Amino acid sequence: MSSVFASVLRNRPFVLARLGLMLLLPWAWIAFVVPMPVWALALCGGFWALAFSMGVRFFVTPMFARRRSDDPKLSVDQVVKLRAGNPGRPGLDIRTITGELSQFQTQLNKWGGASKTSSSKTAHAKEGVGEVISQTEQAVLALTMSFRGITHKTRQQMETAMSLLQRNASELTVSEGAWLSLPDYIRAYETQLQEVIDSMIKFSTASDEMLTHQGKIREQSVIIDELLDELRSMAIRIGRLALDSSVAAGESGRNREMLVKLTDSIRETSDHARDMTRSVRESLEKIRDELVVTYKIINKAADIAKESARRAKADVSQLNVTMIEKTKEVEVSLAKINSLGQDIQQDVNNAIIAMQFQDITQQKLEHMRGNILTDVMQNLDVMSSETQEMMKRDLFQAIRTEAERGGAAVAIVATGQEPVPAAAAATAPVNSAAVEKVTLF
Amino acid sequence: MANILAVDDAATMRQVVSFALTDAGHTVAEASGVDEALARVAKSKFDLVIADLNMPGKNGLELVKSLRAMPDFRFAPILMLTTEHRDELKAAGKEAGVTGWIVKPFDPTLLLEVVKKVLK
Repeated sequence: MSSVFASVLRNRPFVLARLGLMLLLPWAWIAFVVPMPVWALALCGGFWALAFSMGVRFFVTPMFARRRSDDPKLSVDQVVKLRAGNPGRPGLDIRTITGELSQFQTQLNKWGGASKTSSSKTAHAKEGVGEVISQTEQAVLALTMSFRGITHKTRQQMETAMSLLQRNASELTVSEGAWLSLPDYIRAYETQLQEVIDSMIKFSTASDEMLTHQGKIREQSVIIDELLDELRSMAIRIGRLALDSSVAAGESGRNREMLVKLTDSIRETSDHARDMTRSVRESLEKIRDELVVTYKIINKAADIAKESARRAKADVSQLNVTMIEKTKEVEVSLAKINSLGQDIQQDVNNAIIAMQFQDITQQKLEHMRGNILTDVMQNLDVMSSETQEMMKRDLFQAIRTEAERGGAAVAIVATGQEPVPAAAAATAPVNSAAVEKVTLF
Repeated sequence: MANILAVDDAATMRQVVSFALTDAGHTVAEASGVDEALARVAKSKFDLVIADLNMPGKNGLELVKSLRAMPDFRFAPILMLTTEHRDELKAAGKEAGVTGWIVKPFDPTLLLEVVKKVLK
């Protein structure tokens, strides 16, 4: 107790002064109010000294004594056991001082260990930041390359679609198996249909011309028919003339045989001419019949051709209407594709902007890694070194020696190169690899 | 279309610049530092150089000064593409001979407009 009293008197004299004043005031008041003899005053002084001594014993000393039982990590049973007192142990004065200063030493040691650990962790973090930067850069680079590929292919797709929709007839080269754009297809279909119409119109015109020629042929056949009638009447007249000549030859008597022969010859010729005329007429009648049939067929074909041409024209008109509609659809599709293209371009621009943030972030991380973390590491190293130097000073050595000699005890376990008070380890972070586990006795 | 050299220590930035310019029809070569850029310039002819300011070793301003010392690059456009936007740095760039200063992140459309303008 005396050591504690001395320590408190040296370091905190106002505490003792306040205690003494507090105990003295009632006695002084009584002595002032009630006149007392000297022996009574002396007795009061003795009581004051006794009260002061007891105050120090029961209030001041426990207040400043650093007890092992104050450790918050102890269990209730351990605290009870420790606070039960140990009569074999010396007083608390040196323990109080040693405890306070050993706590300070513990904190310093803890600080030094923490600085060293933090420095190590900062170095580890620096490496980690470097890895993050590297990996992020690689990832973003891969993303950029993929993005370039995607946009390139998308552009190609769009250009192909646009070319399919926009290609005009002048560029149209239709090969087997080749793709045709919708306008190209419509244009090709229209062209073919127009060619069919033209052919039908030509056929119809040719049919009309044929009918005209047929009329002329019929006229000529009528003329031939009339000529044949003429020939037939001539043949009849020649026959009659030959008969008359024969009669006349029979009556004349002279050159009779020669005339008979002549008239017979004329008659045969006349008969032959008549037969031929008949044959020609029959042939002409057959031709006329065939012409009538041909006329009907050509007429029918012309009618069919005219009807087909009319329908084809109607189809072309419908096709034109359809084509106009389809062209509008194509225009709408083109507009949509253009709009999509613009949207895609804007998205690409936004993506390019976003990709640059990796570089900006990387620069900031590089700055942090290169400057800030290095500074932190250096500062922590300096603090650790200075703390350890501080703990080597005579004061701490003396405290340790005194504590060991007084039995108050600071069991010291070395942490790295320096001694570490037990309380430090008790309050040190559990996950700190650099601070080893210590025990306070 | 122009032959452009993109100088940046970050591969992603070189890719991004190349991406933005190649799509517009330009030919883009890349260099990861000042020394590599100077070596490339010595071998090939470039119509424009786009460089980062902060690079390990020599920085972008040193590159600009080196380029301006070359006869071929005395009047050629050089753009600085950087995250820095302080006026004193811009003034230093101007003094070194930088043609234009673009702050990251940049819009590709803006970059193309600037390139088109400085190449006129």
